[in-house]
Amino acid sequence: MKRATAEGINSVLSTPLMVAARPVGALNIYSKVVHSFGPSEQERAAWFASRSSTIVADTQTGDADETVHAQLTEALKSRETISRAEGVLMGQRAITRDAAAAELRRSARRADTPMHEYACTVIASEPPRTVRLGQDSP
Amino acid sequence: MTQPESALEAARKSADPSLGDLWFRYFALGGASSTLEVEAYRHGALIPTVEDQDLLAVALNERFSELGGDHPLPDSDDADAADG
Repeated sequence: MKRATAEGINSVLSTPLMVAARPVGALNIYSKVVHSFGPSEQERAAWFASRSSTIVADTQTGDADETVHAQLTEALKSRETISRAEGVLMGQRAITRDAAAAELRRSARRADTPMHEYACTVIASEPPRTVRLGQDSP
Repeated sequence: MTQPESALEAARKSADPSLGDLWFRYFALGGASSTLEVEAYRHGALIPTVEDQDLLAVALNERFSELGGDHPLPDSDDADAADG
């Protein structure tokens, strides 16, 4: 407070920014004048804080959307990789999808590798095939 | 031999991922149950299918690994699981 006074600040009005009944920050207004903030200033600050809170809340929701979007994108990529690896194992070993899924889990565990990473190596182990339609290949 | 449900519950408590984190991991592995169902599995209010049980075990084990731990949860058809 001494430092504030030294900076020429003699009044502070602090109003909480509330989102869903939880404080997320504060709106601080400083004045060089002593006892600068009366009831009408407090009321106007509260009005401004409530509008600001809405903007803060919208920003936070936007951040949450972005996080969920990123997680979903990652999860869908992982699912597709695992599904393709199961397909490769089904083809290579002539086994059912359930057996391929179990084999993938078991192998990833033994290799101490996350399943989607192990799935990538399974897919990479499958040599590319050339498929020709409508004609016999030699 | 520990029952799968109690092993899952014990592992959950020690790794303690949030429901959202656990569900995303489970979903990324190919799981199709909702967050509500996964929450019910965690609390023993619903019995997961063998496939779901295995996927949740993998999800939790992968989290253990990231935390620097071992793979304490057995796979349903992995006979070697008990040996580590």
